[in-house]
Amino acid sequence: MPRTSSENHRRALLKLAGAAALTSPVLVRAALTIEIVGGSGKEIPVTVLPLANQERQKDKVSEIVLGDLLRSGLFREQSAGWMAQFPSEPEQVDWRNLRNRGVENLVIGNIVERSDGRLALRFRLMDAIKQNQRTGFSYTIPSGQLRATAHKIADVIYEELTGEAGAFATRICYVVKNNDRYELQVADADGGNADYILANREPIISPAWSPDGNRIAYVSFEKKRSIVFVHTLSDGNRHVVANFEGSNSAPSWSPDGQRLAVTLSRDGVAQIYAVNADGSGLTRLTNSLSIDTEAAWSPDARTMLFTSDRGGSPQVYRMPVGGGAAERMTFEGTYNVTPRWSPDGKSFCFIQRNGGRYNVAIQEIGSRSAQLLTDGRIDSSPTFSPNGRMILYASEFNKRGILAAVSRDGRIKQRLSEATGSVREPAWGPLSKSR
Amino acid sequence: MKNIALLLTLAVFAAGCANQDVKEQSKAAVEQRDLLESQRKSDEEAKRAQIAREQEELNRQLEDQKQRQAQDTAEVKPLAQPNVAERPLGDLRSQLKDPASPLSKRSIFYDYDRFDVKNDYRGLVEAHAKLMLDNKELKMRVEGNCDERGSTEYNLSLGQRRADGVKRALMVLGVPANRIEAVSYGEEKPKATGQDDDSYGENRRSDIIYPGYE
Repeated sequence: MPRTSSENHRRALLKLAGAAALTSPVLVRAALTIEIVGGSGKEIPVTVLPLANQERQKDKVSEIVLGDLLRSGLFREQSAGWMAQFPSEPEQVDWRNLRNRGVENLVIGNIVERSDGRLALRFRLMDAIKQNQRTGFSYTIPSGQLRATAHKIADVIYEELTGEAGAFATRICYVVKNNDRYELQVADADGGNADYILANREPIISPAWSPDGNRIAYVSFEKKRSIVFVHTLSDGNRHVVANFEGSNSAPSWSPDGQRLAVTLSRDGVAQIYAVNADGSGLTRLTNSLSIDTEAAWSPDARTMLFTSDRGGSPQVYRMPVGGGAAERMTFEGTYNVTPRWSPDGKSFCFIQRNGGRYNVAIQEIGSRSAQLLTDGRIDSSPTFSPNGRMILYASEFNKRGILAAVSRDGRIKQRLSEATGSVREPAWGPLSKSR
Repeated sequence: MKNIALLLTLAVFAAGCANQDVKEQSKAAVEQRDLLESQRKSDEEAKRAQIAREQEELNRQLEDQKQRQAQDTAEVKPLAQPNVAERPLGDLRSQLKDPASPLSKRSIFYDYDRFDVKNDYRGLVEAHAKLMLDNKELKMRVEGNCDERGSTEYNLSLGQRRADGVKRALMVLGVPANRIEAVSYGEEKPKATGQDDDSYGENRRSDIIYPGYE
């Protein structure tokens, strides 16, 4: 198993961070800051009160929950600044006053530090009109999981009030380029908890999350050529999946996490192959004289979308997962690339050249026309949130690479940027299974 | 939500009324579109056929070359061997730097979304092929690159096609495949960082590199 010096360096850093943790609480890394540049126009009012005793903790639960909800663009904050005291139990709530102030959805709760050092956290979402509880959960957690738990609470509230699953308790990864240093970073979906899993002096592209969220496949140029790796997050180990003559790239996981589609140029021109996640069992899937790349395994594991220039210009095609006759999917314009399935398999997003611009578009399966969602100069690498509501993509702002997100209906736009460096190649991880 | 749905219904209703008047016009538009569609299809078929023809031609040349080489090596081997040993590469570094030397030119540039080596670069490729043939232990690396627009992955494949195209041209000229490594950096290593056509043009290139002599 190859191990680079950058990896060793990383291990040393981790150890250092562990030792330093005794005296200084965290290894601070620059976080993405998120800015909303559009809204749905019809937001749900929500009031999230500070949880009793939350001020004793580093992560302020109510602020994280409210931040998540507001960034979705579907909520607006109804302030409770006028309250003399914040209730933490239903019987402490002054319903009459709330109603007079127009409060509709109220979040209350408390945190208790247990004798074993863990935290007992409780929250309730109250309907202030009906004066009853809509939902509520309690959690017993190590204090280090407070931030993650706050994201889970935001997911519960989001689902209760909008009717669709939330995606706040998920992770994203992306590549940060700072001068000649490339870092593959993993962060919470709100940009918090960012840390890198690989640092190189050579480019890193095309990260792809395994369906269980514990592995990331990516392409690294650390050996001065493109090689596909699979990297396990829990232990930091990694192995080579494809390292043939020419280019090795574009990994895409099968829904069961057993196989990867990859693009290899070893037989003369970029073609799509399938390979087991351990690098064995290579099978060729396309046979053309053209570039075939960017395979995307459908959620139902039956077909693959991919990019091919077999028709004279790069377009999106679909074929059975075992290879075979391909059907052309995109017909508008002369440049349609990087197809990505929506999680429900009913549509796909991709990049379409739009005059001199390159923008994110979305198209229903079965339709021949697409809807443009963005208007940047060069947008690329779109990736669906696991609840299918948002599309994260790479864009630029002030000539710097940034990440941006747009809702699938195009109405909500977010801009995410890091304090320094250029951010590119985002990939949104899967939903966590626990709640 | 309800309001939006109502507005939408009204809009559809209004559009429906307008439809009656434009039916004839839209029929003509459909015919026009069908015409354009079939035109586009035949253009694509022509391009595809051309790519296939080019590929065939290259393969044929390659095959001829292989056969010639097989004959050649058998006949000229005894003569070629001492030549190699007597030709030190000490001056290669300075030749690569000397603007007067044809070897100082080591970049091949391309049009947008194209990978064919244009005729303008015939001399350049021939000069490097000669160097490789004269120095049998010399190895070469060809790095394909693209401009930053579009898909990272499509550009990686396009860059590989560019590098492979240069490698194939060198092979046709007699350089053995195992002495040329063709790789792609896609859009990852731009030479020019501007966002204009000149910069893009400078980034759509294959670079010839002699590891150890640069």
